[in-house]
Amino acid sequence: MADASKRLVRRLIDEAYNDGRLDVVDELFVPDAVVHDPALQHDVAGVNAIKEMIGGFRRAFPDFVVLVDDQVAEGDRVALRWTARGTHQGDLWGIAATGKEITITGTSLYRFAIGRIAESWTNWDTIGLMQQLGVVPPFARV
Amino acid sequence: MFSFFGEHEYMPCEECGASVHHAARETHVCNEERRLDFQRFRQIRSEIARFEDEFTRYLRTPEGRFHAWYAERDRRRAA
Ligand SMILES: [Zn+2]
Repeated sequence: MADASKRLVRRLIDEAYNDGRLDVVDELFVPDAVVHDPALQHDVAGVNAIKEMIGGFRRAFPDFVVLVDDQVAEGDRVALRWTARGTHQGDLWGIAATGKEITITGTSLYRFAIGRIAESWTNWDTIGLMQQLGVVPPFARV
Repeated sequence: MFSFFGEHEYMPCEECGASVHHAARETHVCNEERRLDFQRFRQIRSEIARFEDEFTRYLRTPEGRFHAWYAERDRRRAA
């Protein structure tokens, strides 16, 4: 079961995030799945909202690619450590395209139910993204 | 020893926009095609920003305000 869950998470990364094939979200998530990400202000609930979230990232970074650095599975959970890169070519949360390429890292935990992703929790380097886009200045040395 | 440099380990190259790790900053060489694309992109963005500034300023002048009013009346009549 752990291996099957790991394969589904890999498909989410490869097919949805990296290839922009958003229809696979219907296959990989339960219909009322919930994504928790503190960068998004609200939980993202339901497969349509999840597609919109991934699509939004891909509109902002059309060449967006996530590489899996580490993947661990136990019971109904799969944990992921990842590195993503992309070029800021579209509006992101009101930040107009900068043309800059960014590299960010994050960790995600997925919970599975009846063979699909039911819930996920992600924490990623939002402040690093903002620094690379030039939206926040480098911090003063303390 | 932990040290805090206040800047992200990756930062975009100022010339070409490529994401460059701090350890590679000294040795990074811009890809010429990428550099030209990035410079062109920046130029277009600054031209758009300048146009928007000028347009906003124009809309505050008497002539601009009348123009906006006529345009809005025409839009209402067409609807
Ligand atoms: Zn460069």
